Formats: sequence, structure tokens, C-alpha cells
Amino acid sequence: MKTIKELRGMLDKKEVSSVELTKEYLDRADSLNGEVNAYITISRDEALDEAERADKKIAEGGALPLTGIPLAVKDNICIEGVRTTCASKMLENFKPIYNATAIEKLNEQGAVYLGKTNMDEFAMGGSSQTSYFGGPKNPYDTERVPGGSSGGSAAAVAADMCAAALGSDTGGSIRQPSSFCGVTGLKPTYGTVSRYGLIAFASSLDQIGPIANSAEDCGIILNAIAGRDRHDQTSRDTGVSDYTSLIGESVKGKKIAMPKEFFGEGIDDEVKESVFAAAKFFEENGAELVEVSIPTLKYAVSSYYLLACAEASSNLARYDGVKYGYRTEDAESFDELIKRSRYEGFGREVKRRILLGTYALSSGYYDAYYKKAMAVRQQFIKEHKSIFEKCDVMLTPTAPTVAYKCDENIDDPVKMYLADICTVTSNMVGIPTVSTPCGYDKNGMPIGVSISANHFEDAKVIQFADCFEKQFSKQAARI
Amino acid sequence: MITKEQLNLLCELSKLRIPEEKLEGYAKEMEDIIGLMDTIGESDFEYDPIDMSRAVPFGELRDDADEVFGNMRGIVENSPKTRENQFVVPKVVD
Repeated sequence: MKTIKELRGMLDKKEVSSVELTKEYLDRADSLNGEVNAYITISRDEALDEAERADKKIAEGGALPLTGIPLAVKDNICIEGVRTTCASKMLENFKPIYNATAIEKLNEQGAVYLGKTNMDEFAMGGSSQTSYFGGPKNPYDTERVPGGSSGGSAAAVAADMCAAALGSDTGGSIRQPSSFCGVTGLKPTYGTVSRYGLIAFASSLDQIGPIANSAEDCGIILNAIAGRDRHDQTSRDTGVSDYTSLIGESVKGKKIAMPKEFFGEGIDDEVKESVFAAAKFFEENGAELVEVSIPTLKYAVSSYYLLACAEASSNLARYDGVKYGYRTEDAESFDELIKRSRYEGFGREVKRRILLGTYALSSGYYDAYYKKAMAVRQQFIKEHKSIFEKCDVMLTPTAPTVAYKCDENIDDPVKMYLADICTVTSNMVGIPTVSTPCGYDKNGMPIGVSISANHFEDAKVIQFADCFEKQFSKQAARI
Repeated sequence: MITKEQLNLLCELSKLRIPEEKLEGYAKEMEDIIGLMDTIGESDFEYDPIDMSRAVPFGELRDDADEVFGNMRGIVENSPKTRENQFVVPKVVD
């Protein structure tokens, strides 16, 4: 398993061509996809064409950091002309007529797209098992989930079915699957990456980000996809030209916040031990650990789900069986066409969330639910601001447990929602967070530690994650 | 407690036609989920809309200018039913 940095060196030294590299990844993806189900669509012909163009660019001396690097893309990010399903029956045959801005930016670099990866339907879930195309599996144990919603992307990276991947994160959907699959995933600061062409779930929380074999690779991808975009009013020019620039700088004297609520009841002992061991590593390297408190954490799951579902109920109103997407047969009226198309086209979890969001926004409940959730979100912002006034970064578990068995939790939405406790606040506040492997449980399943920093300090979380990764012995996936 | 009547109203607002025989299952799930959401009632923070508008990092708005969009064919090809570049829907008026 090679990092992007290593592959770049091999391509530039002509030790391998992009076409050869792409064929290697495609062959591995073809041979493993039956078992892992990481990809919904594998784009062999398109990928080889892109690789050929990349080889020309390399030969002409015009290679950029991602030229010729084979990537996978979550199936909710639009690539023009390539089926983009959102893992839903609703969009089973949808072919976007434009590229997401993140894809346009990767095109400028000459990256290669191997295919579109599996996920929870409309990015709603933490296991990827709500996919209309069947759930992907964890490469460390194929009886277990890879996490979600970017489970296919994380599984593809862990199983070496791509060099790195794009995911999206609304409440932990990059970080939690990265933790479950033993890879590194970065949710950038909200606004760093344009959301144009990312199929919307909850627009004030959604963010595209990388999943890769190292924090440095995440930084290399972020360098390519970050930036202000006129198509997304919430995107920002962050003023950062290189998100890997702090790599190698010492952590000596830095203050690391350890919020006590993240280490209480509900977090597995093995997870706690591994995260404490990671904290100890930083302490031994001169950093200071500071116990802090986020008392509002007890409202994190409820406020997140109320806001995310409220936004989802609005965003998903566009699927009406008329302009694009699934359409029911033989509807006798316009109203029946819309209602039946939506009932038949959306899976159960998506329908549950639309109903919940509609409930939270409906007359008589708005103040009690939506407005309260917004107030809690403001409180989270205040509490995090106060922490980052005193500390450089914050260290927490990425998930309360390791990856669970595929048939566990699936029929219990409340249990599934509660499992998001460690990740949702980062989206509510909008801060950058990276998850990197920090240990393995008694069954050899990966455990992830999350490192967060203040808004637009993405380079800092990459620095800390890289510092930890350089001494951590990773165990390869068993597949 | 979410009644079938409440759920029917939510379905109407959400534009979802859930068959009668499935309503009870959905009502039970929604009840459990709303039970979890009710924990937010214990919080006593006040929402400040002005503060929130500052917290959302909106950039400058783009110019309100016309742009030629050339891919009408692509739009039509994604529609499940069209005729002569128009979307087809059931009759709306008699």
C-alpha cells in the first residue's frame, strides 16, 4: 500500500506509468469488489483514458501533485456523464451534466477517477448499509460494516482499491468510516471546499474531504480541492496555499484539549485506552494535555439530527419524479405522481429523516425543536471558541466503538443515531477534524483518534496527525 | 405518542404516500426517534439569530448575470418522461 507522495515519486521517476498504476488498481478493484462492494460503478475505460492523458502531461514535464494518481469518488459527488446514484433507487440512472467544483479542480491536476464508491443512501447513516446497492464491507473483517456514510471510500482506500478517495462529511461521514477502516480522513473547515456538485443532504453541515493512507496525503488532496468558488456562497478563500506546510514542526509546548465528556460512559474501554495512549505520545513529545469540558455534548445528537433532518427535508423536496430521478408507474394525478415516486424511490432511513425534519419545522413544533437545536449549535460554537482560545488542538475518540457486525444496529435508528456522539459537534461548529488510526482492539479492528482545531487551521490538524502517524505501526487490512 | 393522524399529516407535508399497512411501523419508529429528540427540551439556551448570521461564513454574492446554458439535451435525458423537450406530468387541470 503506497501513499500519494510515494506514487508521485514513482511516476515522476518513470518507474511506473499512470496507465500501469491505474490498471493495477482497476484489476484489484475488479477482483475484490464482489467481496467488499466498495464501488457502485467502476469506470475502467474513462480511467484508462485519463491515465493516458496524465502520462502525456508527466512526459511533458507538467506534472502536478495529483497528476496520474488513481482516486475513487463518493457517489454523491457529480462527475459529468458518470452515473451518480447517491446509493439510491431515486438516482439509480442519474448522469450529472456538470462536474462538482472539487472534480473540476482535480481535473486541473490530471487526477484519474477509478469509479464511484458505495455509501449510505443520500449520505444518511453511519454504516453504509442503507445503500440501495447493498452495503460495502470492512476490509479488516468483511462480516463488519466499514462505517458510513463514506464507507465505500474508506473501504476502497483500506483495501488498496484506490490510492485515495473523496468522501463527504455531514456528521462524521468521513471520519467514522476512516476510523472503522484504519485509514486517515479529514473533514475540512466548513467553507474550505466548495459544495457545488455535492448532492445536498444538510447544506450548513456538508463538506467534501479526503480519505487517504496518511494525513500528508489528505493535505495534498486538500491543496487541490480547496478554495473560493462562485457557485457556492459559503466557500472561502482561506489564504492557505499549502495544507502540508506545518508537517515536521514540533508539537513541543502545544496545548492539547481533552474534553472529559468524550471519555465517559458509552465509550468502549479499548477505544479510551488507545486514545489516551495517543495523548500520552504527544505529552512525551512535549505537548501539554489540558482537561476541558463541553457540557452541551449531551444535546449533541438530538440537536444535530433536528438540524440535519430539517435541512434534508427541504433539500430532498426536489425529488419529484418529474425533472430527474425515479418516477412511479401509472400515477393518475400530479400529486399521486410525486408522493408515490418519493415513497418508492427513497429508502426507509431517508424517509424517516424527511419525516423527522418536516416534524421539526412544522407549525407548533418549530420553536420546541428547530429553534432549540439552533440555540444548542450556538452554544457549541461558544464552548469550542473558548477551548481554542486556550488550546491548540483537541483530542477525542472518533467513534465510541470499533466497526460492528453488519446485522447489528440496522433496525434500531435511535442506537445508530447515538453512535454519532463523537463526530457531530465538529460539523455543528464547522471546525476541521482529522481521524487517524491509533490502535486495534482484541479482534484486530482499527480504532481512530480525532484531532480538531479552530476554524481554518486545517494545516494544524494535519501536522498533529502526521506527527502521530510517523511513529504508529499500522496493521494492513486482512483482505 | 405519534398517532396515525399525525403521521398522515407529516406524510402530506413531506409528499410521501406511505401505504396504510406500513403506517404503524413508521409511527413506532418516529415515536422512538422523537423521544430522543425530546432531550433537547432540557436545554435552556436562547437562540440569537443575529449571532448565527455572523457565524455562517457567507462570501460575497455572485453577479446576477445571464449565462447561456447549452446542455438542454443532458437535462432532458435525465428526466424519466419527456416529449419535445418538455417534462411530461399527469393532467393538472381538466
